[in-house]
Amino acid sequence: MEIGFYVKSAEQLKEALERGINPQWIMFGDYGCYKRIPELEELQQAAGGVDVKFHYISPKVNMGVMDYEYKKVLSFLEQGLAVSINDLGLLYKLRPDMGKASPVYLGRLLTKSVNRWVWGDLHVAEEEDKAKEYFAQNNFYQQEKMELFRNWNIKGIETTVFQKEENSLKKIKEQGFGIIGYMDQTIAAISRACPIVRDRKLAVKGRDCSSYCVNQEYVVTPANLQQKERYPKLMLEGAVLMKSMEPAVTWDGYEKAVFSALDAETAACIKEILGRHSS
Amino acid sequence: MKLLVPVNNFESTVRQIEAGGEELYLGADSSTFHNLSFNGRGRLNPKGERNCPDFKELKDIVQYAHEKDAQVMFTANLPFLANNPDGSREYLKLFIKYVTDAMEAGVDSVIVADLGAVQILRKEGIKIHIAASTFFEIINKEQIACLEELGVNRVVLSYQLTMEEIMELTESTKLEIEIFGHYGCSFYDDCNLKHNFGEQTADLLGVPCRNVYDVTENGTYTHSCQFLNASLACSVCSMRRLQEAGVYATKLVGRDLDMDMNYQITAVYSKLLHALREKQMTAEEYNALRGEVLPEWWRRVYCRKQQCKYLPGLTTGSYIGLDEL
Repeated sequence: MEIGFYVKSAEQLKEALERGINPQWIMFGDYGCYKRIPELEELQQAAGGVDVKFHYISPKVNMGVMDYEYKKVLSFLEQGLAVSINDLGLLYKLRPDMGKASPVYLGRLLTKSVNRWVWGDLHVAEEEDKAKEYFAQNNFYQQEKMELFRNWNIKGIETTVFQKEENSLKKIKEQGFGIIGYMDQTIAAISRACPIVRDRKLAVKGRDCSSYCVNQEYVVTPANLQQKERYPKLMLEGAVLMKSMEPAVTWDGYEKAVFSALDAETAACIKEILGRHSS
Repeated sequence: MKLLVPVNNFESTVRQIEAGGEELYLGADSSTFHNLSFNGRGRLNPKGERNCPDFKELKDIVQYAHEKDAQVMFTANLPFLANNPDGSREYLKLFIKYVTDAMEAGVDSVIVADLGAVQILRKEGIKIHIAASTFFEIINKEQIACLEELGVNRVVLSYQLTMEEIMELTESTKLEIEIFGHYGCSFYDDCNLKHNFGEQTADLLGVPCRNVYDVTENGTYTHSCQFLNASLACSVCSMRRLQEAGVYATKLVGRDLDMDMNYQITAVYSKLLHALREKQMTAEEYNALRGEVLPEWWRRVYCRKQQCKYLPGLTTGSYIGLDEL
């Protein structure tokens, strides 16, 4: 298992590396907005002499940016980067280009899991154990889906790490797919309408609005007291609402363990994984 | 353009057809799960009542609808399908049974929400019209081409598109294009803030994207507002252009909402659609007609709050990906 950092900017990467644990992989990109994505060259500079590989996370792709994103991904694949695709349309367009040297993964938006539902435990609480176990899986674990994407030369899938999902991940791995696990953040929701820009009564078109969200931390908490008790910590990263999670790795089968919150707690968790792995 | 409306039992079927519904959508209770269902909603409402009819009532609904020249679309849109943990296909088989039981009741189409549902129905040789629901988050032409290749007949476009994008998508395909005419969500439907999958939790959670939130920026509280709310409700002003663009169906959301309100909404859209079918109207003619048809409450609830879907505005102006790169 290798370690990855999911970074949103060159500054964040520098800070993370200064903490003294060098990842093997730098994951960069965004799920919702192409304007938030740092340039590869900036990240390479920020990494300095550290020996790391880069893995690009491609966002959802609206029609106006399809050609731009397609060319960008092709260029990265030609440069030998690993790429995760989160848009079925882009994946379909890339189909003839897959299966060559660089690996392509299904991003977290192209597989589903009830575990990711913020109140998923409530929704399945009254189900029988058998149904609970069924809904605890990753929906990529279905023969037809695996066959389809095997034919498309997909190397593996990304998912958020939930212990109860791991049985299905093992089965997916047995079928020859790699699993990339995100340890400490899960995607709660994504909007095309950027809440940050809308709140400022700005328009996105033709505007470099990334200064409003890159390296800025937005946390939203329900104002209603009763709801406050029932909501987890929700952070807005551009148009993507993230829920933070306690990192915990109970399965060594992940191809990469990816961390997003690059703080002292994360550093401790990574040390534990590396220690366990080397022993 | 056809008017697709929600129903949840025989009575609402009769009234929605009277109000002008031409295509109906609903699920049926298969009792496979206790709370979740293949129907894309919680099985029971907060009172413990079923959210949809059993298969016997479904048959009566379909028969009545067909007598009135209305089509019935069957919701099989639980956005999760997989093998069983032991590798068997027990729940997949139950899903197929859920669909084939509805076909025996006479439904015209099945609405699905998981790629695996399309694959398994076609693999089993089930020849029914398939609609790829909004859970597929369709925002580009390549997605539509992919779904066509897999055997889909209709695609439901994402809530958050502009009129120009809808026109481009409609031109790009022979598949039926369905859009959301009334109501919608703030997020793409991959949203994990699910709040309609077990209605008893809804009152505890609110509607997550419409709640008032305290917003903290870089550790400092800044303000409280409906920060995540990007939902828009009404497409009345866009109906003429949607019709001209070749949109096949416009959907009114609300199988879990108050049916009395649904009938009123259906009636408004129906009047406008019928007028648009009778003659080609200029924008001025259509605007005049709209002025006559819209009740005062509609103007108060939607027009004055600028709840306009598909038109330029504060919310649509915040849409990502409008740049030509």
